[in-house]
Amino acid sequence: MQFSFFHLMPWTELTEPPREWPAPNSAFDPVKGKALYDEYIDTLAFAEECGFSWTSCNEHHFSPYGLMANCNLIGAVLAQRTKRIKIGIVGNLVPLLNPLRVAEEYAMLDVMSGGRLVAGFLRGVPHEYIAYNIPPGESRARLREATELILRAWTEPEPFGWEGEFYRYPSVSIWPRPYQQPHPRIILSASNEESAEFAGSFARYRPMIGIVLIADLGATRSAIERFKDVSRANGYDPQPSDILIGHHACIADTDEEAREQMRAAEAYFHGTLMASLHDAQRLVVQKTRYFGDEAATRRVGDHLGEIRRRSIEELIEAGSILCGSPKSVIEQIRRLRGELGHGVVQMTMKIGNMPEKVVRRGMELFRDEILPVLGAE
Amino acid sequence: MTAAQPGWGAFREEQADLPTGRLTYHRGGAGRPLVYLHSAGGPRLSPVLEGLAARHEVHALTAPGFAGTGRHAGIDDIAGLAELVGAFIRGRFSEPVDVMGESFGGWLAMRVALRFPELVDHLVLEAPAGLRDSAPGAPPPVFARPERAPGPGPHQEANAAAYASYGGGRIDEWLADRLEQIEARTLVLLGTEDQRIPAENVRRIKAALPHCHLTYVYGGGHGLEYDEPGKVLRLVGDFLERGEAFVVPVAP
Repeated sequence: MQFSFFHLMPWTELTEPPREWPAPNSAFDPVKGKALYDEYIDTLAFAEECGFSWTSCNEHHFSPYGLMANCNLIGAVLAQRTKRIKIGIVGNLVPLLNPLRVAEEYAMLDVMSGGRLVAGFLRGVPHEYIAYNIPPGESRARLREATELILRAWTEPEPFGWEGEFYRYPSVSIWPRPYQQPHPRIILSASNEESAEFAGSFARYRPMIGIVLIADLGATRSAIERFKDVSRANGYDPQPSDILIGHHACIADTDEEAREQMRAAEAYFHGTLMASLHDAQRLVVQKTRYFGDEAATRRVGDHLGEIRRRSIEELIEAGSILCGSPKSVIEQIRRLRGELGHGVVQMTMKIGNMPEKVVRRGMELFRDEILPVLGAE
Repeated sequence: MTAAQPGWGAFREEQADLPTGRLTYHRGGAGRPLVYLHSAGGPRLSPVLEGLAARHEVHALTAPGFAGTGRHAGIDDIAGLAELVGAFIRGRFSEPVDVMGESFGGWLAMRVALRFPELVDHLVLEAPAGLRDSAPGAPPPVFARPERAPGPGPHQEANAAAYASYGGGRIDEWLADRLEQIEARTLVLLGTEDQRIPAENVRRIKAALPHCHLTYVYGGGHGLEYDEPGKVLRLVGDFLERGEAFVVPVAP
């Protein structure tokens, strides 16, 4: 198995939830922010020493939930701070951005890192369409076209023009082109059947899929199977190493300690960082066709609510989180692998305001007790 | 002779007497002349052609043998067809004209531009044929959006036979060896969903021609003029009007 160390770069200093979304940035202290960036980048680089296969981050806007408005900047730092580990940008919120800028920045990262980029093409979370003033109902169609355009920009040897639905560029020839040939590995979301089918339709580019925030193993299994079916119908047979499952993870010396730490961190994550997002998300999801139909809209709403309400034990059972001693976490991962057949496990260990020493201890336990067992399986 | 014809809207059917025989064409619109060369499917008034007629005097030629027309003596390959088109342009226009061709017509347009550089101003090639062999088995679909496709015309078999008789479906080695000699400023279009013309072909054209723009039309199949008429019309209209400056954005 392979393991990805993922970081949201959360703001840790809130004492109460923001009163609205976007969260007023008067609560951001730039001096503390500088210290957090330093700390988080150190931690992301430390993932290489701990034997993780990927060190990963993603993009979010207008929120203390994550301080990576442009995760490619963090990727550029990691390209310098690490030597071998893959840099998982999971990913750029492509429909919100200029796709050629994404193509260029990803190509730069791939060249600067010597071909270590895993390039995520994500749609993002609904409220971020308000942030960048893009119609949420166009999100899927924009992602499809932008993905095709970016892949074309990476692989086309001659200057070309693009006449599309959302994007028109008369003359394109990016410098640099990617280090990996024909192009960097790409990863798409498959969190529900709709997105799984969408990911499978890109079979010609042999994508990986990533699923995070699992609430229901059966639904996740169905999404994976849908991705495989659509991929196979298009000539691509995905393997376990093409499927990433992401969890909040707390690994401690004992189960009790892990649960206690996880409980406090999840409370800050859901109760404070995420609190102001819910209203904005609900607004977008209810007022637009962000999800394909009403049933899908309802499912996603239920899914997030369900995760918030569940106990640590229920979250472990559902596959939402990994939590416990190394021995327990190994068992949890094996059980989930048996259910889902994935080959890449992504761990978010900095959950909300989880103390850094707990994160580091978890990484060391992963290195010393989990990786030697599961890395060979 | 001039006559209205079903399916041709405001275009009129006309004939040009050339040394090898009588050439049928449809003329419509007003403005800067544009000679249009049809695909192997035969001549038809697509939404793109109709749209171009708003700014151009369009002459849509019918290659002899297509659409029920008679063959011309001695015109039995693509080189002969190029001579025919050259004779038509020379006989009708005193200035170089813009030439546009779809698939088979794009192949013929390249031949015309090579043989008669003095007669061709801008060149537009939509999914040009001529640089590939027909793959064995059933040909892949022409249209990415079949709901927009025109119905089958009355001359399908005769059109297919005419196309084959002119060498359609084979690699034109003579042309392939001389692509870099095409001097006309050229716009090449290919649909991102075209299953008949591989992107390698248009890349080869783009790399060889000294003044060439290659544009991919997102979502379009081989039948670009029906799959994505709005995008094609916008691009071609802009290119014919502004030439190389068509790459410079202008405020709406």
